[in-house]
Amino acid sequence: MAMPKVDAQCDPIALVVSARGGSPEAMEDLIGLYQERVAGFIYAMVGRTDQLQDLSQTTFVKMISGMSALKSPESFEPWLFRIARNVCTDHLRRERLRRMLVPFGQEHEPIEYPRAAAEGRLWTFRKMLKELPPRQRELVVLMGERDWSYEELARITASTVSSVKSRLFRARAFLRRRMNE
Amino acid sequence: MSDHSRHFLALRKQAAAHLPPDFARRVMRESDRLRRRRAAQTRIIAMTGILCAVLAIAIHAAGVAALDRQNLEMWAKTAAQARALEVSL
Repeated sequence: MAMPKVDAQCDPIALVVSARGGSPEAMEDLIGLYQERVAGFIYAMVGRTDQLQDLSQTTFVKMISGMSALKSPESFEPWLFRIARNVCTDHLRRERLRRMLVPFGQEHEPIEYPRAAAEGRLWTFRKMLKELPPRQRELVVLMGERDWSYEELARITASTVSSVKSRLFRARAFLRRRMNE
Repeated sequence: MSDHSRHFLALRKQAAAHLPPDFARRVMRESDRLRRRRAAQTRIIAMTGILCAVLAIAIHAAGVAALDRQNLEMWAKTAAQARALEVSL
């Protein structure tokens, strides 16, 4: 398994400051610190592993090139997840278009089946996530990732606090209903 | 820990398992490669722009020079005709 290069005690804000100052080592450490969380977010959003590395890489390359545009180091985390969210949204949009234009082939949609009971529960959970509309799914996945405030969620998803609240409410109601079935 | 949190943690672990151990280094390399490519593209765009400007100026200058030559020839012809008329009178 890919392990972050830095230990969890590493201060992300100090790393962001150094990375913005042009330190490639700090940038690499920053990627190592966030790669697992960002990949987890992308996987939960996209639901497939075949393009996970590419999408994670795209997210971090955009992070590097946009680092100078980051307003304050404290807002780094919501900013990074906003990039990841936009990368996923673009990917899902392209996939939808591709499905309309390209005839279905087995190589296009690898279907994974659960191998064990524990994996089965996870598979069911992933299936439920996939059934959610992307705008609701992104909020559920973000909340599963960390306890964000409604304001942060609104910033990440380019939306309003009231819209975030209502989408989260609908998503949670859907998940509760599906789990009780 | 709730079931959801456990599932998200499991998803994160599964996802991390699909990243190579030198992922951060690869990202840095890719970023460098893209930066170099963008710089090369910018250079090509700038050079093409300069070339187009030089070409446009050259074409314009050649056109103006041709027109000047044509005008001078016409003036010379007109002056010769005027002189001939003067002599004949």
